[in-house]
Amino acid sequence: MEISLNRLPLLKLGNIKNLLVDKKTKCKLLSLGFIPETAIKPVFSNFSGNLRAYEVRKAIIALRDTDANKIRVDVSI
Amino acid sequence: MSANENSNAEKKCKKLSSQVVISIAGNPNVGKSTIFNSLTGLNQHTGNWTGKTVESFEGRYTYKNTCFKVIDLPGTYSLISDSEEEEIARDFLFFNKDTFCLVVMDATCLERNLNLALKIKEINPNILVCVNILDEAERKSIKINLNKLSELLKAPVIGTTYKNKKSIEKLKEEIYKTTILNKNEKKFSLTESIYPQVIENAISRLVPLIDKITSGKLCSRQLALSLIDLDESMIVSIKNLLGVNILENEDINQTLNDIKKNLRKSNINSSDLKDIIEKSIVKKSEKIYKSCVTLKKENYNEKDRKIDKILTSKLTGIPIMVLLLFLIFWITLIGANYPSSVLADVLFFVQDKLTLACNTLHLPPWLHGSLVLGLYRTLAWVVSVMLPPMAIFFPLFTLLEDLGYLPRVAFNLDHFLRKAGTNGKQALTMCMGFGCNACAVTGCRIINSKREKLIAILTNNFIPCNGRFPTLISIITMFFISSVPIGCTSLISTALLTVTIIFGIFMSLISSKLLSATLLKGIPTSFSLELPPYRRPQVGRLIVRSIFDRTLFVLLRAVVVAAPAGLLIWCLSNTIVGGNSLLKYSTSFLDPFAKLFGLDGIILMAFILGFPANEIVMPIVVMSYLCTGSLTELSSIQELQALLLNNGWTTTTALCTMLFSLMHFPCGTTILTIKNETKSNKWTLISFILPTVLGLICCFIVSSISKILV
Repeated sequence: MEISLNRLPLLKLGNIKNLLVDKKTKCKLLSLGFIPETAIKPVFSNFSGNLRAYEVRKAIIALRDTDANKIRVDVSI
Repeated sequence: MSANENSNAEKKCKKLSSQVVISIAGNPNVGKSTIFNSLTGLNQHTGNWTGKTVESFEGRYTYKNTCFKVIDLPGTYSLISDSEEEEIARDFLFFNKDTFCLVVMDATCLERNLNLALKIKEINPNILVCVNILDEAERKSIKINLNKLSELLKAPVIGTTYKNKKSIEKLKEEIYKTTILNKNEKKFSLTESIYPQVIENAISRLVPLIDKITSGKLCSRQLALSLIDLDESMIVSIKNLLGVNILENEDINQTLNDIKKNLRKSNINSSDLKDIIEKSIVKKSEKIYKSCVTLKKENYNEKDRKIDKILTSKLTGIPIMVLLLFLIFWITLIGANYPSSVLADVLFFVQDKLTLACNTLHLPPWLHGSLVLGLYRTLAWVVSVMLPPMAIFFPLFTLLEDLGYLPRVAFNLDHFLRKAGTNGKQALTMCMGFGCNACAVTGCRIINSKREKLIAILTNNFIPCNGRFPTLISIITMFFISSVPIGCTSLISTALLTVTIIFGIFMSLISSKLLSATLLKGIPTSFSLELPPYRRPQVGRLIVRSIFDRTLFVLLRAVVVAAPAGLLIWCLSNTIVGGNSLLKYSTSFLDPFAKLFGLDGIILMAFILGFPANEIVMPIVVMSYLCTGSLTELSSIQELQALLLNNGWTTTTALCTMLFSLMHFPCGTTILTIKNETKSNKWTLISFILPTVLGLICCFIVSSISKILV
């Protein structure tokens, strides 16, 4: 099942499928490790819930929900 | 090694005929600047958060009669430049492919770091890989086979622990071996197929055409990839360097069109290209990582996650932030008292002796007055009152920086920054503002969006720098805690100072919102921030180094800026024209305007004359009152309080002075830096006007309310 990354529950593992972002943002996300077919897991969020930290390729990267909702992940793993 | 040793190295280098150039590259926050400092003896700002180094720095060292020029590049995640500092790194690596490159990697995060190492190796076979922070890796039971890594990367690999001097010596030896002894050994690029065959074929078609235009000066393989991917910034950089728009070449254009057709036939769209390129590099990194790294504990980051849960949680995240700020201020306040009084005793004792010497030598009164009562006394005031708080606050803040806490601050504050229409990374530049607003303005380069960068630059001055803390602390101590029980004075002072700083942060957010809604309207851009692993700071070394550096910095500023300001005040107060001193004329002129805002002419003049450096504002106020009054001695905070009260200060004056100290025009260095960064007179003027106007408005409100209530 494919959902947007911001909807992936905390501590649940997903698999990145697609980055539906503009070219510049895509470059940045790819360089940070948000590459299709990579495992990703949200590990904690800020108090308002609109910024979450994700574990991807053993690094922790914080992303706003406005960016995370453009990343599609598969939760079947 | 010290800065002196680096300048000695520079002198030695001039005598040596040749010089080897080494760049230090790697992901952000892997220890590049620390290694640079260890090699060269310079003192680049280091800390555990991404984005500290925003420009390249040079240094030199000599080893076995060879001169090495080292260039510390800003960290970059990839060679696709996304921000200004990444472009600096990318351009240097790309346009200097024949120099040696020391690629630094974090041993606790090797898999991700290998991406960049592989990309750099594609451009430049002359690399030496340094796997840094091995001690942290050991603590987390991460075992790395460096020999295997060297074999797979086809490059020498050395492990370092930045705390260990021996590992730096080993690094120097390895650099020497690679660059001098084994210079003529064949270096291997990773040109075996990394990418799918259709892309490798495309690259091999473009490479000879590119070589014809660039005469082999640039890495044609990487350039071919950039052309296939239509990397505009790279094409612009080449045009700037070679004066050639490579896309205008007919052969290249035709070949590119062919390549695009072939890629479409293989179901590869232009939007998928980057994914494919990155995936190929990642696959190779994963393969190398699995062959070289053994994890004894899969969940080695569990402790960091537990700490993050506390530091970023809804309930405890922000309260812990405020508490840490409070604690740092409290230690600063308590710690500064004793050294301040000792310094004051010593320096004013010396002043008395200087006066005695002047009298004994029958020096003219104007010479004694200008040099001792003007120049020396101001210098003594800055050193005794301003230096101890600055020398204590800075190392404490640096400790938090080195721990890795600052990105968590940015994480917590992002919600408010988002509401203000700005970028979460502004929290990092705000933190830098506590040290120095000018450095923070340069630090704004980590923000990619021009609009958001400008907002961060224009509002940074609301965060009081090191130079303003002593003013705030001394005013709070004199005017706001007199009726507090003795045991609680330090706690109440600290609480008031913390509230003042939080107010400054609040005003920074308000002015950011104001700018986002008016002059700098726009849509917030994407925000991503790496939260690095927590690291144990080298407490002893950090404290000693910071105190030493900060002391030198304050002493230098005291001599260069404060002493001349004191001399100027003395001259103004002793140059009599028409029955009044020039000081009296200047302050009387400013007085009516200043009184509207709860200040007086002397305070306002002190802020104006304090333009070169914020820490001289209070000394100028004191000097001006001393020159116009009967007090000639000033060696304690109680005497200072008496001086101010005698000159009409009330609680309102104190509050308004604090508010104006928090919100007034940036200092000279910051203004110059803003001009440099924005390259615009308009924005520089706005950066001057914005905090000043808001400061005056706040002072006016407070002063008016006070007049109504009294």
